[in-house]
Amino acid sequence: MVTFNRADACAGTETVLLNIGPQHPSTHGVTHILVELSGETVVAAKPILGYLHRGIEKLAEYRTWQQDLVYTDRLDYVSQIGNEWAYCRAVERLTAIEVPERAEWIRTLFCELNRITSHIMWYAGVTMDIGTMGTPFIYAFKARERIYDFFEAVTGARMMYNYFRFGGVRCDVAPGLLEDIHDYLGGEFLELMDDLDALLLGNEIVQSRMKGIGAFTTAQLVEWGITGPFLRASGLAQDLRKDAPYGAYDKVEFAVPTSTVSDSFARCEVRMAEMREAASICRQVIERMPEGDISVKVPRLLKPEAGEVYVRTESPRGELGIYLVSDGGPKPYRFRVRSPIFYNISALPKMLPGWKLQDALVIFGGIDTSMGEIDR
Amino acid sequence: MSGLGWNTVLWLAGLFALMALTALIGVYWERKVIGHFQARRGPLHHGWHGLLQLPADMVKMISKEDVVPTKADRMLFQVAPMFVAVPAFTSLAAMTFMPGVAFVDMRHGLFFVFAMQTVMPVGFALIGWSCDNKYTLLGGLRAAAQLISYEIPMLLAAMGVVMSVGSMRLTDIAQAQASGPWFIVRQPIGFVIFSLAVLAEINRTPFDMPEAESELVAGYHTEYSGMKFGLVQLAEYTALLMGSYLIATLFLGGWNMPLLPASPVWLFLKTVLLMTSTMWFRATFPRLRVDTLMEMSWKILIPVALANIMLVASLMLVLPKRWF
Amino acid sequence: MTPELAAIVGSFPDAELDSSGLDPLVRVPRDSYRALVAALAGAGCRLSDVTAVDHMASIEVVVQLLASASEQFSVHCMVHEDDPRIDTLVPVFPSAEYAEREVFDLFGVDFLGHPDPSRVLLPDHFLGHPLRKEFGLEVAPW
Repeated sequence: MVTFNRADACAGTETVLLNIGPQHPSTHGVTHILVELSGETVVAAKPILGYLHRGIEKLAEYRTWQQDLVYTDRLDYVSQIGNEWAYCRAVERLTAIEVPERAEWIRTLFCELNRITSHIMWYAGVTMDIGTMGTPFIYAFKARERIYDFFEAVTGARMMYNYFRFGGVRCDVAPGLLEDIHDYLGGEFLELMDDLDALLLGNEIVQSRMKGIGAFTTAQLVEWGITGPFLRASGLAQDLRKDAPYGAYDKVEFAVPTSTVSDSFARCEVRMAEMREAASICRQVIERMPEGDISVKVPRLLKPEAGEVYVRTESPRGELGIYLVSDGGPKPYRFRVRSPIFYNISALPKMLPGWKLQDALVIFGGIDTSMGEIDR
Repeated sequence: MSGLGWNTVLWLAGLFALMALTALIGVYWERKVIGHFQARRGPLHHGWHGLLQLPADMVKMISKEDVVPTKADRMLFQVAPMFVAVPAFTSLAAMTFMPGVAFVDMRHGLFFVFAMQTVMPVGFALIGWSCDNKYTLLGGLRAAAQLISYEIPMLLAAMGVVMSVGSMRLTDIAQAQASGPWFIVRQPIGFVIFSLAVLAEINRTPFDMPEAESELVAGYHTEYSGMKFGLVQLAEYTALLMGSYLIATLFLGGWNMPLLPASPVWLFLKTVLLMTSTMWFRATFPRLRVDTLMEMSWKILIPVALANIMLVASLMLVLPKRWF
Repeated sequence: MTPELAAIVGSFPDAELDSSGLDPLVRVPRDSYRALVAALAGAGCRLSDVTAVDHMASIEVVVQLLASASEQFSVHCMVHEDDPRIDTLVPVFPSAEYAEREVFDLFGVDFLGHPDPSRVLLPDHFLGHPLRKEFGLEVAPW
């Protein structure tokens, strides 16, 4: 743990305010971080949010429960299935809809595939942040493209899937596709993962840039409200897929990757391991996928009884919560998204001071932001 | 090469063509090389394998609006790129291609090149300062600090070669490797230090912090557009050419090739090979951290380079002249 | 909700535990709001979220707490629309800082003692608090 003393860092000289973003090559989306520098050392940092604020929480109050499903894709636009699932789970819990077994397994499969593509996006971002020309980026995107093809084959879309429905999924998986996914994740994907590991974790310059950088204690991270891989890299195996299982997570074998080092490099290791675990979950799901219905009949105009529900799921970035209040009408009375990255990025003012500017961007890359969900 | 005649004019034209072409072909070559490293194919659509991309880029560069930021120091902003470009181009004059084939076969050619390179940090700092932009300021200061720190190990490493040859004329240095082994074999430590320092001198990955895209947008040349940006870019590629040429001449035998007749072709191939390998680094490596870079120069390279000089000097006393 | 936590809630005479919903729910008046949350935090509860719901005449601040990794419950506190002030939770849970800023931004609830009471998602010159029910979609006050 680094103890930071502002007076020492400034050493009687003037500081410089530097805008990182909103238009900047290293920001992922329209992030804006205002950093105060003394030389190359960050002495203060403040994220300035809201550039992508579309008022989704407000708009959702003006649409029916089903229509709101479309908005969830647009929250965290690199982990769309995770958001859809969180919202569906919340509504299903509120209205006590039973989801058929097969639908739960299909949901688990696509959620984990989405976790892989989401982590690939993080991989691309973090390798660019530390200054590669984009070679690892393009290598990683080979896998993303392949998995997006699978999504396209099932949902018809490559980005905004709108695949889940209350009580199931929209359509079944085409015959043969499951075998394709299984083959890909068991062979070509793992070979590519070895390459990606070598390009990131095996590179000595990366190690010198990341080891020991952004080392925070578990207690600090919990206090700052950090969840997800960032927290797990500090040794706390907090994963809602294990702690409060949903879908088919209690029926498949998987490990929660953790690390005790809690620096930027450990966060990379944890995310890389999570991608392999996700692939393993997908293969198990495909091997043991039960037959049966993929959805139950749900009234076209859903009117849940008055009440409220809060459901948390493990998104690739942390604990994604959906809080819904119903007044018994056809539209949600309140639609609230507890965004994991909103909480993670709000810890930046406490994380960054004391580190060099270049380290600050490495730490920021470890958060894996997706502005669509922060700004909503 | 004495007297002002057609010969001189031809050489001058050659020099000019060299510096203009290096940058253009360098850009094209770099895009192609990096493209293939990234499982892409680089420019492809204009002309044969995208060769017409070159004139297109040139026309684009020239026809772009030359923006001067309102708050910039106008005079310095206009002049600063010259401080980078002129020394870079002038240093090309010291290039020799064969005994007797040179722009100017200077008696202190190596010294001249280093002297010219010493001016460049001033240019970078001026560019950074004149724009009144924080990114350029940080980039310019980073560049100046980096160039100054790496000039010292570069000079010290070259010193070993100069001591051994007993001359600073680039022709003599290359000729000294005609009979004996190349200096990469005789002074491997010097070669490693020199190559690293050259890589840092020309701001190439993994030492490209001055233009670190992910932190400083485009570093010191963020505010430059149009032909001024082109000039800075031109200077950078010229520096890349000069650096590769120096490594080839000082340590890789220049125009000599074992068992084969000496020819400028070898020099050209070696230079291109070295330039391509810097592009390889760029496609593969991330960037180091600024303070790591400084530490590497002051705490590792300079002491080792000094020790290398001592080693060379003692070996010169002990071993026969042919070897050292 | 564990007996220990229920006992803590019970020690606040004005707090009311409601277990009829899907998750346990504690209603507490504004005066003992922070004291109750602090007591629950002292018993090991973690903060999951701070948000609010507009009920026209009053605004309900909702604090989602986690008793353990899988057990969740919420603390609800009503503030009147004419006097939308409540104690900040930042001294208890530092992670509440930005969430409370968001509630201030979108609902106009003032958090007393908040270290940085400013808008977070909307620009500083924005008028109104869009998640209030009277803020219609048709109205564009800026």
